[in-house]
Amino acid sequence: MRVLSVQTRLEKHRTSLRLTGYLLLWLFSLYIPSLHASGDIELADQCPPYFRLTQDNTCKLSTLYDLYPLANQQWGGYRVALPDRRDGYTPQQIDLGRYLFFDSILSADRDLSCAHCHHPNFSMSDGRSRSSGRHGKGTGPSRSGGADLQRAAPTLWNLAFQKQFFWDGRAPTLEDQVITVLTTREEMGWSPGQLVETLNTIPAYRQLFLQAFKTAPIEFEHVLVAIVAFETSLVSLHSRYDQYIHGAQDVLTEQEINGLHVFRSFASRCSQCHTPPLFTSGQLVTTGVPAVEGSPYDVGAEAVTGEPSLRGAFKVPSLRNISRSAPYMHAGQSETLIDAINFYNNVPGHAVQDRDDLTLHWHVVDPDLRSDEIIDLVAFLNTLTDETAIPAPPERVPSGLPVP
Amino acid sequence: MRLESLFVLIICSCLFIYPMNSNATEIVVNPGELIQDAVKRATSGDTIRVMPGLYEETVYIDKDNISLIGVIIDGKRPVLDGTKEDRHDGIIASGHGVNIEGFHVLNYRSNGITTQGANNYRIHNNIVENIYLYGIFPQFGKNGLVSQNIISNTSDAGIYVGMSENVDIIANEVFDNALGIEAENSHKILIEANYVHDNAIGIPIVIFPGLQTKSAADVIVRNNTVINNNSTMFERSLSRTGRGITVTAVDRVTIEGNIIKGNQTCGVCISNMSGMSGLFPVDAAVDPEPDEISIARNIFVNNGYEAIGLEVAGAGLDHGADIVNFARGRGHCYANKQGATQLGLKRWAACEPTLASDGVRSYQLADPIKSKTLSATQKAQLTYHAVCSGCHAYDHTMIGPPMMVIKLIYLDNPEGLAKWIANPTKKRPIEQFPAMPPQNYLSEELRLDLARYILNEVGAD
Repeated sequence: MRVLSVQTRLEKHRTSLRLTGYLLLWLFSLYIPSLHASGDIELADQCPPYFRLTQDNTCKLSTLYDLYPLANQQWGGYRVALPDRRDGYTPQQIDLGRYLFFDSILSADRDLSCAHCHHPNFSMSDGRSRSSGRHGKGTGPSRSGGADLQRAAPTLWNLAFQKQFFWDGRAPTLEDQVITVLTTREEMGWSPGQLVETLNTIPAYRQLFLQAFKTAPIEFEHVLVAIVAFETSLVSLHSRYDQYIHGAQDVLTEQEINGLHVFRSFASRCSQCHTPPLFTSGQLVTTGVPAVEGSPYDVGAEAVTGEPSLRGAFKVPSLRNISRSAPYMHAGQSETLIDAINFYNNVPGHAVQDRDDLTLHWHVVDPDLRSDEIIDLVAFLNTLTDETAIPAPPERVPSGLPVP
Repeated sequence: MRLESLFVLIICSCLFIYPMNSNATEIVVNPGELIQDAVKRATSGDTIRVMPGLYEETVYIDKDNISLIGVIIDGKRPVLDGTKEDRHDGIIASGHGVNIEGFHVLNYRSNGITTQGANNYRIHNNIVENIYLYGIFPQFGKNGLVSQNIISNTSDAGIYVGMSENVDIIANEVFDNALGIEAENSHKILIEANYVHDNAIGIPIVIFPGLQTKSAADVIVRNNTVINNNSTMFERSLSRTGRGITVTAVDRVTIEGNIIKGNQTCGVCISNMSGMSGLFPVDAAVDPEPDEISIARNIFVNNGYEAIGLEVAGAGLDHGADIVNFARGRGHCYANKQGATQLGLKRWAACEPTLASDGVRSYQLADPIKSKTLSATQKAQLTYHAVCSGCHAYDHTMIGPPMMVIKLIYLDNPEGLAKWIANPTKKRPIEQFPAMPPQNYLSEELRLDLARYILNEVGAD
């Protein structure tokens, strides 16, 4: 009897806890906390989505792909593990990187942040054919007055796995990439020394760097660490496509499955360069995309490597979130996904004047796809969308400059 | 009497129970049904038996450990027909541990049978013909077997092993293709006892630039019959026809014990990557010269009586040879007593009496390649952060409600939470959050472990 009554009490206790849970659920759904609404900026002590906080306060990426065997670091495939990645930053470093990313204090004239060209509203790109540099106003296609840059801003998804950066692959690390943008006149036009000097005059930044790195004054190296920590936290590995590969058989429609078959067919060869799971091989490839009207032909990696057979070669972009990042190609030569597919569904080299000067990649073939196959392929590409890890812009940044 | 029946019963149930332990089932597919419907129903360990008849579809296997077997009765096989224009691939497998055997695959626009990133595969006893690109195409895989298949009339390669490791290609007949058996940017490939005839190039071993894999090495081409590879059927290989075995910039290739006969340009052609210039970009990460090529114990008969596309310093040759070498590299050897006619082998050393390949019976692995071993909790922890943490934080609202609230609701009811994860229904009092997608692709076991992990571990530290 007594046991029973204890159980009854326990059950009552449980019921009340459960009711409390429902009450809280209701309360939470009314109130979405806006962090840092006032007062000092406090850096996050939790990792971003898809990262696990370890005992030593670092964030490790977690992905279901790591439940699969890793046969080779370089290979792609479907049910395969992802290769080595850059992670292991602290939550504070990642969050500090977010503030820096959105802060125009990074540019000499205090009018350009990373986010002006890599904005959450445009899947971490800018929705433009070619990006707009210093002295401009606004973000995205409506941005005006900025220096005309020659190429499109790539999205920043899954950078943790990439081995070379920029369309022409000229930066071997993310740090090199950041330094280049920072010091290019048409972009941020700054020097590391000047930047650090300025940051050190801003008490809020001194305090945040102290939180994140436990040292003062601010060092340039730590600026790089923070920005790279933030950039490598932008993962997109949980799209409907991924759920399908992990075993959710019904999550893709018949049309999307047909599109997957066109995508991975060796007749079309899409997946040979846009190799899953990252949907890029990371290689420099000449596909014969034409010059932008009124501009000289962009020789791409040839200018970096001095290798004539890499004339017009560009890094294969990832197709993750591709439906969110039009226009396409290195300078927006294709407005839509259909345009981009039609470019490849044609005689190799058809769009360039001097076909014979280019060593087109041998995977560029005319696959002769039917229009229904192209429509299915687009449907499949739309399944690669996952922006759950898209960062929230800070409400304000330590410099007090406007947040893009 | 009664005792005997009991024994029989016990024995019978043992026999019955034993295979049931793995929960493996057999699914039979008859003509008029879709093979793909059976694949959709199948789970890891299942066998699908396909009865003879005509099947017009693409079969795709994006799950592990499925055995797809064509049942052969009185010489009749199940036929997979791509009807040429309609379908790209006959069978596509990305799941590990796939077994594909007994099919007759024809008229596909892309490949007959392809594996993509699958390890531990077996492709056995299939007839593949009239395919626009590759007959059998394993790519990005480790530990595989391609054996006793018959492949003809593919306008590219009959068998093409791309960026792979530890693959045996054994006892296939490969004829009337542009290329017979091709190994590209691969390591540890054994090509043995195949009958490779009447292709334009019999067995090309190659490294291509501009791919993820920057090296290719350890290929054994042994005891094959490589004859009359002089096909002019396909335009893409017209200028390169007449070659038995070719090696382009791959290291440690052993060509041993083959019968190499009647290939008009060369029995064996060795080249570096300079022959690719103009057609392929230069890849600074790839070593352009082959090293350590061994040619021993072969029988050469009447190769190189013409010279299609053979040039030295821009001038065409009027005949080839049993062995033609255009490459430099180091450590090559040629064993005497093969009686081969030769071009460009003057600096090659004599092979040692024993070859490094002598001890290699197979390149397949003794055990299937596996994932990292994780405990149930580690797996649940990984899954929690890989899936749940995208939308749920512990103590504040993200896309979904906080985990501390969910924990209160489910308390000591992991089964209930696991059920919810598989099939979430609207539970929120107001429509403020997007609906949670079902996570039913996670196995039942993993969902329960995940629910326990959420209730016991999340927020506990």
